[in-house]
Amino acid sequence: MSGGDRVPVRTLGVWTRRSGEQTVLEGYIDVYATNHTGAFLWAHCTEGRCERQIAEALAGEYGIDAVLAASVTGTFLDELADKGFLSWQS
Amino acid sequence: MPGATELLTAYPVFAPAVAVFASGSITQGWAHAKSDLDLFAVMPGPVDKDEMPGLELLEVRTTTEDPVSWIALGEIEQYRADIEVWHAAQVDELVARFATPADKYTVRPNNAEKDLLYRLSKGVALAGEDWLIAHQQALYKSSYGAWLAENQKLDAEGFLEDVEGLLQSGDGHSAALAAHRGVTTALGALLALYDDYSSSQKWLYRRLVAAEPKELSAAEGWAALSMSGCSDDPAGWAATSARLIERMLTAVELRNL
Repeated sequence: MSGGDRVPVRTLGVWTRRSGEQTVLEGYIDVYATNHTGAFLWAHCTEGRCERQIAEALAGEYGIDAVLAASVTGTFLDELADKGFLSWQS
Repeated sequence: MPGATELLTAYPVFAPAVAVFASGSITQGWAHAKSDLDLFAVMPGPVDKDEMPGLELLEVRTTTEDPVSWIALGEIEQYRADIEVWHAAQVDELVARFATPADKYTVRPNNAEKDLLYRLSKGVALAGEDWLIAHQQALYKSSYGAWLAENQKLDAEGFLEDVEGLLQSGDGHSAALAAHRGVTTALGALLALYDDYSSSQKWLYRRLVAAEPKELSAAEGWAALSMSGCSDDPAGWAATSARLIERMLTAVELRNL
């Protein structure tokens, strides 16, 4: 499966809290604070959307080019996966 | 349904009200044989218990500057009537709290106040229509729906955490029950985005049908609410329902970004 076809699956039981300008993801142990862009990407990690679809949504929301959107999306989702907030659908 | 004339004939104490409105299952068209008539009298100022003789009164504590409202139990024609008695400054105070963004809001409304705001939003004027419409418009323009959805979302996330833990521990039956609570709570959050501020569980299906959220069809919602397939495979049902909950909650996340 190529990078853009990967499908992120949220770890169940992660709380998504708003805290001022930040959005805080709170797992059983780990906590991760992100900005509006991160919250936007996180909110799109549902319904079997693949990484490419999420990047397209990001490009549309922020008016950035597709290459940059794909890079930002891939980096962010990899970081969330590393921290255990999501996994990749097999 | 009785109107203002019948109410004020039976209970002239409410004649000075700035608005009287009906709300609830009867006005929604969902009434059953035992439904009572839910009426709201918004008085120009505080009303003392002694000013409502002959009515059975329940005192309700509120978080507003004047911390008391009343429920008067009465009868109008063939209906049992619950008449909530508020005054205009209390309602103004509650609606004004949500004129600021939802995350700046600090004083949580209690259950009685949340119920009032829901009833106000769906109220049908018997008197004082201009007052009612102005307050409904202010409420719909406010951040109340977003605030309510966010709070219910957090409750639903608690159930999701339970589902995950229970599934990991192999307790499919308890996971299914937690998932069902999560479904009902998440649906409440979703419906709040569609200007449905009710907290009534028994009307959830009717509320879903009325709101028509794009995120969830009535058929899919009913299958989840009725736990279709759960008895054969509680753990599987819980896992599937968890993703449905997630779908509803991400809609709230996106709307509240």
